Amino acid sequence: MKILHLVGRPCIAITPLSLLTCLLLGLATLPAQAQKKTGKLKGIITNEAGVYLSNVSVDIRNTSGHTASTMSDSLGIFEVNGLAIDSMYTLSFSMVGYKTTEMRDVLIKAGGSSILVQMIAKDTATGMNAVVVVGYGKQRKITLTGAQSTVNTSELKYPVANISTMLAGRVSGLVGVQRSGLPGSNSADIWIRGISTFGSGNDSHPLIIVDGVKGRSLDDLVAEDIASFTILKDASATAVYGAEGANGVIIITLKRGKPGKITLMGNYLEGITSFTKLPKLANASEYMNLRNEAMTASGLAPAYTQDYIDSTLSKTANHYVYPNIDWMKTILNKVAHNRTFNVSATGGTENTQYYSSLSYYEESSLLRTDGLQNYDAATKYRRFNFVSNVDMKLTRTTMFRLGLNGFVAEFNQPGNGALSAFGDAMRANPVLYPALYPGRLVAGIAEGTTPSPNPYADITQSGYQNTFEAKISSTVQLEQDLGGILKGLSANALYSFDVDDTSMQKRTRIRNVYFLNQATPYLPDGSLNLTQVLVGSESLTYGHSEASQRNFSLQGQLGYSRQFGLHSVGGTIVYNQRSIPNPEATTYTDAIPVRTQNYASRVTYSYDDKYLAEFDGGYTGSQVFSPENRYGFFPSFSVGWVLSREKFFTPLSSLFDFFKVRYSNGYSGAIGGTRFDYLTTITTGAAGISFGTPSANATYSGINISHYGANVRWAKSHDQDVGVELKTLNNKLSLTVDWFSKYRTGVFLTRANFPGFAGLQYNPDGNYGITINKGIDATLELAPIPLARKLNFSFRATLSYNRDKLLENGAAPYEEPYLDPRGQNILASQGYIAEGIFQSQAQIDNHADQSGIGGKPRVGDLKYKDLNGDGVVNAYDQTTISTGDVPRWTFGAGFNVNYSNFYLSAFFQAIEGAQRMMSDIARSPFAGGADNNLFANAEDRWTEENHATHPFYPRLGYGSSANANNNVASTWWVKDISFVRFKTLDMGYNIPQNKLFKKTGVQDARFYVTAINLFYWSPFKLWDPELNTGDGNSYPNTRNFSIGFQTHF
Amino acid sequence: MNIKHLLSAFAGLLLLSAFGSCKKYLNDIPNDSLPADSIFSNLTNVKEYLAQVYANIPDPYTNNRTGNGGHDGYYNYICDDANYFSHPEFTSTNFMFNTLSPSFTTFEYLWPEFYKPVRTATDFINKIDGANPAQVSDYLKLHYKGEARAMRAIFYFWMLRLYGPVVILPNILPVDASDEQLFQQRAPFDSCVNYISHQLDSAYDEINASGTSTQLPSQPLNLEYGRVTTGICKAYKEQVLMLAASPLFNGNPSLTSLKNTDGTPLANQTYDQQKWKTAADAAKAFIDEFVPTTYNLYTVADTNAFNAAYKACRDVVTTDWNSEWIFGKSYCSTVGSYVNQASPKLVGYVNVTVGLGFYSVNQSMVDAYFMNNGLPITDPASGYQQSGFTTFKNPYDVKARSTFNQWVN
Repeated sequence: MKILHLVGRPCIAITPLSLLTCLLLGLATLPAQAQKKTGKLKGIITNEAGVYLSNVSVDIRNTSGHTASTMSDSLGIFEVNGLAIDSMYTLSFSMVGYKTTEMRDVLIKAGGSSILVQMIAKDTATGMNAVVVVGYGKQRKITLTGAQSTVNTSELKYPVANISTMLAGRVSGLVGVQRSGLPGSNSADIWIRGISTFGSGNDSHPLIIVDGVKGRSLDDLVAEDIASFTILKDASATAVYGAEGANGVIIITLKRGKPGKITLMGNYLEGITSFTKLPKLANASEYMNLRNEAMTASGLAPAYTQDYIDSTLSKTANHYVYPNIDWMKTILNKVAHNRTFNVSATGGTENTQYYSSLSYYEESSLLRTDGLQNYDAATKYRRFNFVSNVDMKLTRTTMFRLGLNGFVAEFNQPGNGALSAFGDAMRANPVLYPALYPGRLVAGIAEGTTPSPNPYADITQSGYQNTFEAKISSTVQLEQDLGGILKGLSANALYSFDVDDTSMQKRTRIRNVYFLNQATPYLPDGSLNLTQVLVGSESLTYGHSEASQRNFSLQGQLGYSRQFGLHSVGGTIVYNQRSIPNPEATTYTDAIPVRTQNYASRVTYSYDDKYLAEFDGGYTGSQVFSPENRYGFFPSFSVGWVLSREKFFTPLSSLFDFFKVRYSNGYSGAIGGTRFDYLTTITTGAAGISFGTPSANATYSGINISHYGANVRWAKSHDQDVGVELKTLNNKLSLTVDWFSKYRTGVFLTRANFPGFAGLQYNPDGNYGITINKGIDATLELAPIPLARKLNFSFRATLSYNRDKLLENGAAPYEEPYLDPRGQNILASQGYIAEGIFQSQAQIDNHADQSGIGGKPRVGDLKYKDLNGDGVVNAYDQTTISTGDVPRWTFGAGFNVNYSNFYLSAFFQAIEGAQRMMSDIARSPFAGGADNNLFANAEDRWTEENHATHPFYPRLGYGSSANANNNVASTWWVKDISFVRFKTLDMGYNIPQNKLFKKTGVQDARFYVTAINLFYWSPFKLWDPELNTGDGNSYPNTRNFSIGFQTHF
Repeated sequence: MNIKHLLSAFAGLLLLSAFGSCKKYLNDIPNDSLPADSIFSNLTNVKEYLAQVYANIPDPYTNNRTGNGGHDGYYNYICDDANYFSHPEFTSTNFMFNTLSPSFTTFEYLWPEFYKPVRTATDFINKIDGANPAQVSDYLKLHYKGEARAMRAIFYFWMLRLYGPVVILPNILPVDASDEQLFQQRAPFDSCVNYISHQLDSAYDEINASGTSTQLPSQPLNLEYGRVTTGICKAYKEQVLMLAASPLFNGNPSLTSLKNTDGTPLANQTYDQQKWKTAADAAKAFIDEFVPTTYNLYTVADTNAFNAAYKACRDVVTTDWNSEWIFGKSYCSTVGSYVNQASPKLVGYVNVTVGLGFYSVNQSMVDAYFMNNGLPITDPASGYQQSGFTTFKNPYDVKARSTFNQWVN
């Protein structure tokens, strides 16, 4: 039984036997109607989640047999007039999917009475009557016929700046990879059902809708403020978004108030962060020995004498003269910290409800600072978020909603940028120079006019950059019940305005750079003989930049929803327009706002929650499309059948409590390319000609076509989805499986198969690309089951698999079939097939000629397959060797254990089928600049002595030509970056109800500990496999441990 | 209640505005860039569009004659009298030993670069009659059309010389052409020749018809040397006919297998002596019409007959648009580095400006010459020495210098 908070006068009638609880609220606003013998009864009906229920049949009778009936409107309100005053009535509420509830002994008073009714969903165990978010509306989960899934928002509540990093594996059908760990910039790349498009100008990421507004960002939000998180996966769910839905849609709603007493929430978390994996670079000894080896093998004299090596490694040597430095250690602290603080207040009366919150997040990086500098170059991110959602009932049938949310964020970093530190640490070897010479002089050598990398100086001596961002998203919404015109009809209008401003101020410098005179390191007086190799500046320069974005949208919607006996009919029509001006435009073309229009409609029908059918359609117009193709129509249909409600299913009902199958087939679209691509424009800057002689000449500049107008339109995705949903073991175990296929045509691309004889200045654009993407996603969920007294266990696992294939890329035929990227997956990359290492000169002589790649190969070099058998290995012998860094398989599994007041949740994620090509120093350690460092695993290489057959590196060589044979893309360098990650751990203790709580009004309180990225297992060892880098040059992902306290009162 | 009414009205307005969408919402079109139809709206644009046709005339001096930008590509490098052994971007040995990577695309460079002016010229010819009459006179329309037509034929001729039979496109391929439209086949060699020579005839007629007493058709328009004249049309006609008569494409049996995919043979297989006659007639027609009135042998007066001949040979290249020049590209850029690379390396010279010697004769050429005693080097009596150095005074040098024995006498 639920207790609702008393807002007005004391409860007059409570029926404790009923699962429904009611209150009577006095409505002061109602004028007294004392003279009459009749009064009215007014009420609001909600479900347990506080969602207003429309179409509820209300039957009223009293003991004298007076009856009346009505239905609730779209705002959940019903009203009955002409009731006898001071008489007791019995009310009955019924609606499909909810338990019929009765309320007895409701007294009608002279001034009118009002009640609050809460209805309980019928099959709470199955959760099928829960109302879920769909495109432009809400639906009961049982009636869904499209593929969509929701994220339990409590699973997102971890102390991270960007919630996108929490999603992979939590929800089926979503692929996500976190590419960097830099505070504030550590959001994840997200795709729904993988990648179905390719080429520049074609976004593969989903459309994100926050509180009904398109194009808002996921990462601006705080998990505590999110009420629901839904992903729409197939055309049936996304068709209403027309040409914007083909990559899937994420719909987020923020929390809103519920009628009731004010509830305050406070949450505080304090944590420490460290790297999941710091790339291990060679130390001085490894570096010098390997460099000598590489130089000797390349016919060069070794760089370091044994004497020099001994001096460098000696603890007593002067390390200004014999530098020996661990750059990573020099620039990094062991730990950094983060902090989260949330407060929120929610509550309201029957007429006004609100939710407002304020959140603070800060995270510092592990980069060191120089305490002696008088500026702050510490790398840290801080953000304040706020949400204020207010809902007001303006009239009996009108609801006004005002939503404001946004943030102010500040990011501070060194003048050269925090990211440069890692690249620099890889580009500076450990024996080149110390961080600073005595007197705090910056050490380095000149590379032309810029200094060579000195990681320490770059992060501590280069000044600072400070970026400040402020964003406000505002939404105004009006909902009007039009039951007066037609029962079940409602209208809704929405206007939103988002503004985002970023300004960056920086004060930077490049200091004077000194280097020790290598021939005579000491001056006569014994001090170091330093030479200034580069003139810099000790004072800071000033620079700034600004950026801003705006986003307007306007939306109107008419909805209809009604029950006719066992038939449910629903429909909605939506008009939406969106305008994104460019405040920074410098040309008129750029200044024209990017605009789209979308009309959408949905018709749903269901019979007794057994047979379900739905038709959706989106009609989108965009400026990107050419005038004759300006509007595109995207229809879809879907059907569902709840077998478990059939009589014939009865024999199986002991096995399955619920069984539903559904199928959808339809289209959604994607906008690619650039705006105004359909216009043919000319340039006056083309090459011209000069005629005549020096004394009498005429020069004409050329005019020519600068862009060939193409008949550009949308890409179209034909989606099909078959889904099965079932529940078994007394509703405890549920399984949802979806098979899908997405066939996308008309992907925008520059057509490469235009022959040279067409004589075009540029290859034209067009919608020629075709891809297909098939896969499975599944969710298995175990509702809490008691394992022992007070001990509960629940479990949830997801699986997402997709296999995409490029079918047409508009290219001309390739010389050899294996060179063709068509038929391969979209992110596939090409290179040679490495067959092994040449172990003898005879092997080289007997093998195809590889000299076209990098000169004559040497023993210890990689041997490549001669695919076309022509005796020469060259570009025609390349083929697909890697599927790319986005996984085919994503798994997630988590469990929760509750014991008494303790709880523990753990979540693991895994990916499989992702590969990365090594590059730069992870491929050929000494190929680049002479001063590069190398990974510590460079010891694992081929040598004359070991003749290893499968080391990480082949023969080491020094310089680009000595590495040319090995330093090309080949299967040797394709590394499996699959991993299993212990992603999150959350454990805590709920303080039991006690007297202190009652006195202070505290409802609940808990202490808890969370951990993120605890550890991972991966066959790839050099760096955290999730990072988007082929050479480890990226801010590593971080691990976080936090302790927190949360309370509601 | 008033506020409620007000808000209801606001709600109604918002709903109305949302549903009453304006069709014009998406109709903003940028007007700050030139639309395609502005090309033929004024004389300046017409002239500049025609300049684009001329722009791709090969310029052997551009950009150090590297592939991109220099319209001659690398062809200088691989001809047998050049010696680009040390050019940073390309060594002739790569070509000779077939170690160029398949991704080395320089030799494909000219193909589209010659077809671009072909497309522009076709577009120009199709549209020039419709040019704004207030700006472009009928006289200019006809003259420009003839120039564009002649240049298109000349570009085809250059391609024919370089690639053999080519694709002849009487019209432009639309930018949204289907794949089938793009699958064009090469025309047989003789058809290409026919097409080119007839186009040159038409161009001749157009330019000739536009001639006046002050603007002779044999002289470039406004004396802007480098523009097509009637003489250039006839000269290139003779060139293409001579190429057709040459044994390379006149019944060459080694080209038997050169066929289109549908089996159409691209190179004729029967030698036709008449082609020489046709070419000779074309040459005679040119001479009859233009020599000596328009073109004449370039001579330099000098009392010494040798010097006169020497200077005429030298200055005919360096004197702009002298009477012996028929067609050329004015103002070729960076001729300096070309001169530098073509000049002898002058090995052993100090304190003098030396060239790079990329065009110097190689030893096999030197050895092909007779010694100054008239004997070939294979004759033991010739006095040829294969090794060592000696001091030797070149007949045209000012003093004796130390040089290789192979180069002496």
